Amino acid sequence: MIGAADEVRLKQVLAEIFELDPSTIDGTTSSDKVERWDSLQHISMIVSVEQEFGVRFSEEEMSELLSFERLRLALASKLTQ
Amino acid sequence: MTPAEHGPDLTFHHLGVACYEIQAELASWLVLGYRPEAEPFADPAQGIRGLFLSGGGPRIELLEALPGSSVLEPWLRGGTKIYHHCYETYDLEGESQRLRGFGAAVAKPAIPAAAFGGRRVSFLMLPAKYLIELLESETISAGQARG
Repeated sequence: MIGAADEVRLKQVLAEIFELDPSTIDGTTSSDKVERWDSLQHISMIVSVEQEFGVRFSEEEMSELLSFERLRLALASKLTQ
Repeated sequence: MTPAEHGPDLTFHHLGVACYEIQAELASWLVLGYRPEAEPFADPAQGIRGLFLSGGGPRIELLEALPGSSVLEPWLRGGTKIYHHCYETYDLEGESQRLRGFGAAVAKPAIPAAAFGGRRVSFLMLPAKYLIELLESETISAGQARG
């Protein structure tokens, strides 16, 4: 899992892209529940997460990162490599 | 020699303009002196119909969604009309990798494009959130077709 500080940073990125209150982002936050989470904002979010954490996601990974939970798990995997 | 020394392998090709209806948008470009280069084309693989225009400024590609496609909806909803820059390259994979190294994300992997006789295009979003289309050079495509 990622640390608490990284989780806050990840929520902040999602909050800015999807215009959400960071405190409302949790394990249930996903593309099918967030109105602004469309294909364009998804790519924008991926770019921002990659920049924020200095990681790179493959095209296959990008297409699966459609929820906060999946992002958190994928990020944890990247940061421990 | 690195790209920094001789410059990137990118030649400007056109600006992509998202429209609800090409015909409705066209009048505003005609008054600026632009003219259609050919008839509109449809690209079901990308979910769009397009029309290239030439005039006193950069080449323009007007784009509307095909029925059932929502590919342009995020841009139109956000009020963004000029939404991508297209650059031609002899090395689609190499330039894509170079931009990835700069922090860009692949928005759409390389696919053949109806507008360019099957030449491949791919889309990447730069860290500054500009959407870039890379178009494979005609020479490279012809070479690949010959095997």
